[in-house]
Amino acid sequence: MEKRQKKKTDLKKYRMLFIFLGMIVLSALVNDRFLTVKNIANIMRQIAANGILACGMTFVMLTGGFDLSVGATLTLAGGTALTLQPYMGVGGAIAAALLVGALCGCFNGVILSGIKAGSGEAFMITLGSQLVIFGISLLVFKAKFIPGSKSAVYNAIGTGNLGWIPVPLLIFAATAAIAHVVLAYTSLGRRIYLTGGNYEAARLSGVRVGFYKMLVYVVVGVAAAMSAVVLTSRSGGCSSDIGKGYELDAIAAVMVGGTSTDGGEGNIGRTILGVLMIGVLNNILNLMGMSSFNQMIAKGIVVILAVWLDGSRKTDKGGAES
Amino acid sequence: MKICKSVLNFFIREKILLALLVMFAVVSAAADSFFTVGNLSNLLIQVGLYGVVALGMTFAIIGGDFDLGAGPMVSFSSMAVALLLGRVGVVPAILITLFIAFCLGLCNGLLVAKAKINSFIVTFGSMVILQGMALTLGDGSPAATNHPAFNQIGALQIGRISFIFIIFMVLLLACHWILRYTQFGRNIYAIGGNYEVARSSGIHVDFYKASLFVLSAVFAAVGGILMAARVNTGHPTIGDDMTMTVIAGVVIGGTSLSGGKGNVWRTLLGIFVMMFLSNAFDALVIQPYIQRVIKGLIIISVVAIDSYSKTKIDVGDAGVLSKISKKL
Repeated sequence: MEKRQKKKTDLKKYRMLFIFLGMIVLSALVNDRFLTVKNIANIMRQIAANGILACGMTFVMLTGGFDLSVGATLTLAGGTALTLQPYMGVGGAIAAALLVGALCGCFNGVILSGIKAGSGEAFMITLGSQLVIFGISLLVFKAKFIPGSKSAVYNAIGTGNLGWIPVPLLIFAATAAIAHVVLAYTSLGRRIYLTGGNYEAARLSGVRVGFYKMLVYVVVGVAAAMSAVVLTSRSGGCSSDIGKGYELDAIAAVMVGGTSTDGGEGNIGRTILGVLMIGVLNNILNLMGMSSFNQMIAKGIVVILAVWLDGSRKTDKGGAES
Repeated sequence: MKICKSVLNFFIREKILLALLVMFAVVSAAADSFFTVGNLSNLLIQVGLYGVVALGMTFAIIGGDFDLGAGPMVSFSSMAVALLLGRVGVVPAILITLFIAFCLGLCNGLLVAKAKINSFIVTFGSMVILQGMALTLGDGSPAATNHPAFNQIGALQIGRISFIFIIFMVLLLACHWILRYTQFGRNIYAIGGNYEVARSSGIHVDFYKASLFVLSAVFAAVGGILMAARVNTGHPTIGDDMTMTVIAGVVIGGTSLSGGKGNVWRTLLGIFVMMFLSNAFDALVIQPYIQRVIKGLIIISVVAIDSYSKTKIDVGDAGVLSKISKKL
């Protein structure tokens, strides 16, 4: 009896994986161009930016936080990377972009850990910093389109291949691997889980909760800057709204994967699954030649359906405490 | 002295109102174009349009959730009503639009309450769906509302006060009554305050959870209809950015995002602050990019100060203002 119970929970744990596999089979049946090497490589190239961002967002959401400002950070960092390149070279420009990302994250993190914010406050404060950071990027770059880099190295970040494997996928995979190792196997990771799982208990057992609460926002800021580099390299330029909507896409990917909004529960594996699902969905809708308006409708329905079918994160609370 | 003290106490509790009054006075003195009848009645229209959407959001937030689909619902219903007008006439068009919103809100509500899906995912999904539907309706382009009687709703003024603002105030009073004096309203506070306790004490939580999303959708649709009447057009993206402004307004007014606290008067105050800021920035001729930065900083400082003072009160320090009040 006990064994059967255990088996059931095991299956439940992997339900999202089955939904994902089902989606792939269905996509392959619907469209014969779906399961081609070229198309798969294409999907991987497209999901990299959101994937890197979602890895960072996982850190924040594990502590029970939220970050709505990453889309704006992405825009600011992307603009920085492209604008500074003629002066500082590729390496310097990327370093500067990452620094910008870290600073934006630090700004959120210091405030949020200073006021011991819950997720409601995190929502509002990062909404405010979204306005601030986006306003700054409009001011600095005069709301103009910044043309892409002339450097072959920089352009290879988003468009190059290493053998069969697209470079952005490698960056995403490396980021995910590092994030996974940090969260699963280091004391730093365990403390992040603890901070999100039970703030008071973590504080009383000597975890510097304020520090970890701040750190996760720096992590997501740097992740936003990394996806900015990948994105501006792939799309050959940086428009003033390049990051628009990325925050919600990243949060949705993390949540489709099944990481809880209450914090303390979830992992990078789930996030990758969420990112893959949304990426495959976008791709198959495109392949089917659906109009972009209908794509939006279909995407919304499938996201809700997938989470419903998943069901393993059913809370008896009836929805998220916001 | 006693009056003085109670007035001071009132403003300590209502910091935002105090800040608003000060800013109002400063901007009136600084910009000639601000304190004019024309501009102020314009401000009231803005408050009315955003306020109606915010009323629905207030229910959702008091009940412990929020609705990311409210803004797109404004876009969608403005398109729906504009397209229906020519075919079925004013009143049926409005009723059908409200009915569609009711059904869509019910879908959201059932998905959250019955299927137990996280409300962020549900309203995120319906946000994308509604944006898509609004665009599909007119194939991406706006639709004019060529109906004099309908356009009159947006243009009508009583005194110098817009009809839109009057509708908003009537709805606000109705919401106040519902939240304060009916069992329905009290139960919404109960599920927002502590869901488990509410459920254990026999409140039909699923019903109330679902009704939050219905209310939010219907109020957003009213906002969309008024918006269409105001600009004489149904526009497929007109409301998309409203969601965050509305949530920010509700929260700045003092309704807690964690649920169970707040009322519609706070929403009126919060929305007034948000609309006042945009209006005042324009009157002061501040560059729009800098407007964003200032608006963001204001949201951050209001929420941070509010939350910080709460934690301070817990450890016994009640802040400078109340120390002054004690001395009086």
